[in-house]
Amino acid sequence: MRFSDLILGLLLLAGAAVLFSAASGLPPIPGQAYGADVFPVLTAAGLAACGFILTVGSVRAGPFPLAQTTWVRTPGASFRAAATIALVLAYIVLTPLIGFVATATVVLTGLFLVVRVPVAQAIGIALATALFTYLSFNMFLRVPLPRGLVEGFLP
Amino acid sequence: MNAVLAGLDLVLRWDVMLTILVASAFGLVVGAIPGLTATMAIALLVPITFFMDPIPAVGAMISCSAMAIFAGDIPATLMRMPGTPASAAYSDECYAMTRKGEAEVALGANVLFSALGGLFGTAILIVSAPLLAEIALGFSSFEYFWLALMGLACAIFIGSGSPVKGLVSLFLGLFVSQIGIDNPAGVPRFTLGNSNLLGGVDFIPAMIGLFAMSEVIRTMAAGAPDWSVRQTSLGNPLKGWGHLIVKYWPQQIRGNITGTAIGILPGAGADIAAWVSYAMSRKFSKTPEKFGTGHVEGIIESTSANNAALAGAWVPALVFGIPGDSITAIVIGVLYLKGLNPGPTLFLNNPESIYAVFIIFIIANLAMIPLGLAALKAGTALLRFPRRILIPLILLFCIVGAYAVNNSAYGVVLMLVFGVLGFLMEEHDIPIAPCVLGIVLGKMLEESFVTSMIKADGNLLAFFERPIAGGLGVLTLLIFCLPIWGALKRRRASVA
Repeated sequence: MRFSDLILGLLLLAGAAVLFSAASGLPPIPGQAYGADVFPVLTAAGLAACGFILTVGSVRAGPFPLAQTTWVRTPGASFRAAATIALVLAYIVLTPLIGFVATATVVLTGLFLVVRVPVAQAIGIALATALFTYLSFNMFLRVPLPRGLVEGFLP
Repeated sequence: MNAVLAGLDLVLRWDVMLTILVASAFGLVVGAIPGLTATMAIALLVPITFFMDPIPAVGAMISCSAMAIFAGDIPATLMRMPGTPASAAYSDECYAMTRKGEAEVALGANVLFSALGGLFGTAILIVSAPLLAEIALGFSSFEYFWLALMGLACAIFIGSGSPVKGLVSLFLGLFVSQIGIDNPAGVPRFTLGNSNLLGGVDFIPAMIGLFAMSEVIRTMAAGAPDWSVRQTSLGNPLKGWGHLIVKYWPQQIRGNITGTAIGILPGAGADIAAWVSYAMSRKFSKTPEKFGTGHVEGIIESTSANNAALAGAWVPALVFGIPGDSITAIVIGVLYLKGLNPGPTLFLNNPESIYAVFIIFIIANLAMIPLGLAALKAGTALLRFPRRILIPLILLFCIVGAYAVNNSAYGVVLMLVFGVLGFLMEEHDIPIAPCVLGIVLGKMLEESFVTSMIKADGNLLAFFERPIAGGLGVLTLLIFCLPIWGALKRRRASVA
């Protein structure tokens, strides 16, 4: 999904307004003219200027679609993009509960299925990769990936 | 001399050489896969470097980036799909040679002139960095303010198609750099009450998100279709090397010089170097009509330039701590983590590490010839590896890498947020590089500004009172003004 420059410009103007109001409450450095608020305010002003240029440019260019579909027209593209993001979110939620190996197996299997890898192949590769990654990171790189369900079975 | 010998001693160890070899192989693989950039290879490599000593870590990043930039030429030649953006400028030319059955000549030229370009850039790095460091010892916050601003200006006006969208990206990066308590006033900013954000946004997960996760989302959305390789068997890539060197030496030298100069420029990297060099090659060619028909001349000049730019980009990174491109932006973060804080004092306090970096550059570029030739043989097989398997595996590697930064899920959250942000930015033609430079340079810009103003009691003219600061200031303002002046001139011409 690609929004028009008009929508993008308006979003930037709104974001700049929020940033400006948050920045203007920051305290100054005692005795100095320039404090913690200067750069955030300048950043807000810059974003507002860009938003204004995009909005005006888009209006001047005449009639326009508010949003264009690019790759989203491809069947299933939005679902695959959303599923990828959802599976990473699932990783964040599930790892503390069931550990790395189980979560990585589930997430990888999900990702493989999203791009139509056959189920048996997907589970096999996912499990092997999760085990390999867990062992190599835990043993060689000393990254303490959460054990969860494999507690007592694997180092 | 002692420092050079100490540098050699640091590099010529089995663990360093093995690291260089493995990182080179990794760079070749990632670079040869279309869509996966050299910057992404470096971002993925960073979590592994946490567990290395400083010199092997730096060696891994140098060799990985050099190999990835070269390897991008392999799919560009065989499939007209540049493996990295640095190969995009001449991928049509390379592919035209493949259609004529001359893929081995194009790839052979890519290996040879990439290595020579890298060696030339290294020579300039070796000569210029210590000299610049000596000058930079006298720099104060005023000069650093202008250098940081110049880096940002170059990224917007040289590195992106639309200056307005480049600016949007830059301001987003500057905003990210302002999050946390690490600011001259020492007050928490934009932390939303989250203690994780007090220390600011961790750079590494953000980079993994912007460069790797965003590409994974895009490829997954497209269904990760496999590629079709046009020419699957190659002849002898060494064929005609002597003839190419003798016939096209001026193009090669010009590409080397252009590439190194663009690399040194803060914010502009290998991809811009390749585009500029290809255009220059065509302009100065005696046979410009042959360009686009499978002519090796432009390939030689631009493939020399992109590898020369890589070494050039290390000049401002090592001397001033200002990234020459997005790869060195990540490298600077790693140098800080490893206690090799970039800046002129590094040359005084730790000269053996600097010489070790130089030596690694030479080794990596020399190794590019045998490893590159081997990669050409393996390249077609690699391109047949199913993307439906590869892309999910890369995502898992991203997740583990982001987690390993602090051994916390917070890194994965950051990676996801920046991955979605990077994906949305690219969907809207907003370039990512200015955002990265904003994140890296934002703190330096603010600190040097506030420190300068405390010194000068709020007098803004103090930024022009020291000779070098004044010169840098004028140059920076010119970089900002010239594109605007050019646009106004074009507008006036079109009205007339």
